Amino acid sequence: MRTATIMTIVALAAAFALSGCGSENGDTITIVFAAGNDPSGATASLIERYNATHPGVEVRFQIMPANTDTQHDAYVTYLSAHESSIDLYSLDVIWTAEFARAGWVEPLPEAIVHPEEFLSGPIASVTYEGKIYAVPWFTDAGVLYYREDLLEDAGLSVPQTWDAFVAACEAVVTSSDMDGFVWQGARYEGLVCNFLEYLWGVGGSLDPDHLLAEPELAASEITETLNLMSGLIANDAVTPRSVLTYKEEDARRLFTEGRSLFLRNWPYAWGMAEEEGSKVIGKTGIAPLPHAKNRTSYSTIGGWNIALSSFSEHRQEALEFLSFITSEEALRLRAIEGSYMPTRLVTYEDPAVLEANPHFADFFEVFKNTRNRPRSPHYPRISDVIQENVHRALSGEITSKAAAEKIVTELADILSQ
Amino acid sequence: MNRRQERRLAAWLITPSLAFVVLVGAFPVVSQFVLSLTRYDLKFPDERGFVGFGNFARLAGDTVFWLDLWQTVVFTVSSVGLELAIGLLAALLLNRILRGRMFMNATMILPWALPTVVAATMWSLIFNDKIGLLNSVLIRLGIVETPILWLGPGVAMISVILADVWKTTPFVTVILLAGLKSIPHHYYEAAQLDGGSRWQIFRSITLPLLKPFIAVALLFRAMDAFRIFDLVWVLTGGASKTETLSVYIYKVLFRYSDFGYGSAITVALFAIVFLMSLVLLRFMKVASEPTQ
Repeated sequence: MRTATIMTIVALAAAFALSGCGSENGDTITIVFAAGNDPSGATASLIERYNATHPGVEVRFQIMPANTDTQHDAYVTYLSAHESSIDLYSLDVIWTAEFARAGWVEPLPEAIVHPEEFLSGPIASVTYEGKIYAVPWFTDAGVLYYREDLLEDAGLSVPQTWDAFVAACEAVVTSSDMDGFVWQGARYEGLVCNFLEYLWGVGGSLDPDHLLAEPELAASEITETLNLMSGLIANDAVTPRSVLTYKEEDARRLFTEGRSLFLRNWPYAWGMAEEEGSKVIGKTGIAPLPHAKNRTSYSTIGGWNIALSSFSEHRQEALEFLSFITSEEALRLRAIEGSYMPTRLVTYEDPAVLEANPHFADFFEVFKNTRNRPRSPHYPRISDVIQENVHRALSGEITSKAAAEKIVTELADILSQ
Repeated sequence: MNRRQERRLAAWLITPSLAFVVLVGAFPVVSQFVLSLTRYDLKFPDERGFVGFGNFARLAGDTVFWLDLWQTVVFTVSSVGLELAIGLLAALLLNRILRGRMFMNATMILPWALPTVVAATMWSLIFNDKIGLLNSVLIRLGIVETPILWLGPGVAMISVILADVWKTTPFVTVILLAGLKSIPHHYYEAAQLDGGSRWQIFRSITLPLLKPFIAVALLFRAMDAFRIFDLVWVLTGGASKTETLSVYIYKVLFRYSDFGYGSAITVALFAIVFLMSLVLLRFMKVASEPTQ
């Protein structure tokens, strides 16, 4: 009896041990693609299709945690250790410079990505020092949501300049339980996205050449921007002071509860405004953000790109899959099934895509004018400098001018390192 | 076996555990010191190298460091001060309870038993200006008219201190209660016979005999408060003048991937806390010396 038990245990152990090896036989190449999850299942089915049509290659989807910072930490850890098991990484638009400078991702061959086929903002986000390091996969940009019904009742058209915008708020918002305009003003990455949209809208920029060559002009543009933003908060009919603690969902919730006339948020908020439980179903419109007189509106780009690891052992096969997962056909499927905003121009004209997402046409108008946050390996530090000083100025802790000067000085210091 | 042989055997037997403790304890500290003398930024792997005190020179001129240090000091002094005062009061009250003592003790410990992150999340909901409990109670009672932005500019530090005091006063109370229980009854009886007032008894008997316990509570709380991270991180992320040194270290290490500089700041924090505990230990020693 005892012998039999021992033999059984040994046999089972041996079986487990042997089943561990041999799952990768010498002929099949495994390509690992690390990215955040796609709850729609579109990516998984694309990968399945690819595997079926490419014998000898097996692509595995390594699902990363949803939190962007957690993904960043994980990738930095793997790549600093020269991990070779992951071939393709899905990167946030603001990581390109960092990963390129560290040598973690390689410039892509020209055949893989033709810039003219893509939206210009995403292409700029994958470029570092003139070379392209990733393929834009899906995109995101700041958008103005407005209450069509309230503007119509007041006989107003969608405001395009800040003056008209404030006037619209003052006309419509007459009681204290309604806000004019909610956005993201907490001290976090989202504040940088919001701030830049105001800065670009008054004609300013944080372009390194501009900052280093003309610091006084850059500072005065930032001062003007901060005054504009503070003015919105100071005006009772426009932005509540509590916006200084708002992130995306705080602002979005107010809008879908019907308590704000305007909202600045990302495209995802559209789905939330139109779903059950929202008090503004069918009443929401999309437009570019306002700009200063005689200027242009720009939106901050978000989104994700796919890059090739410098330590991949199967470059050829990984690049082939990269072409596939960013092809017209793949982007179309992800747009239809997952509502992922495509980065290829042609996908916005696809009838099937537009039928599944009619609002994509409105978003496309906004996407034509998108710009990137400062592209530098030091971006996290730059972001923190902007966040802290903008937040302090909006809180009234320092003057707009002092904040502007600090931003220009510190950014110039970081960018020239 | 004679005494000497016994001692030698003891030494040998302790060596493995001691070696383990030294390795696990000392190794990270030493490697942190070494890292602080290097330039080690993960994003610039080709620039890694020894820089001597370069990181510390950078630290000296880093306005964010000094600002965060000041904010940490403000937090530590305020919250530890409040905790000692309230903790002492609570201990004195609890000491007098005869019935329901176990229930009172258990309830009192509850905030301290909660994981900090859970407590912080709970407080961030209470502090919410639109849907939070605090504003709704204050407005209903007519104490304020417009909702206060508790986690916003001007008030955020107060909110963080409030949450911390709520959470860790029980720790002080427990220590001081033990101290109170250790004072022999007959001291009080003698004092009452001699005609001492409550305040005189408190000043001449209770307080001096409690000093060592106060010192212990002070030491532990000061060291912990100086290193606070999770409460601040969850409530404000460091915004509106609540960023403490630990939050800055986290950012430098994990957002900027700058391990050399992050280690230098950590070494600075270590030095400050170490000095602070030396001072407090001295105070403890003085306090526990017999008084007249």
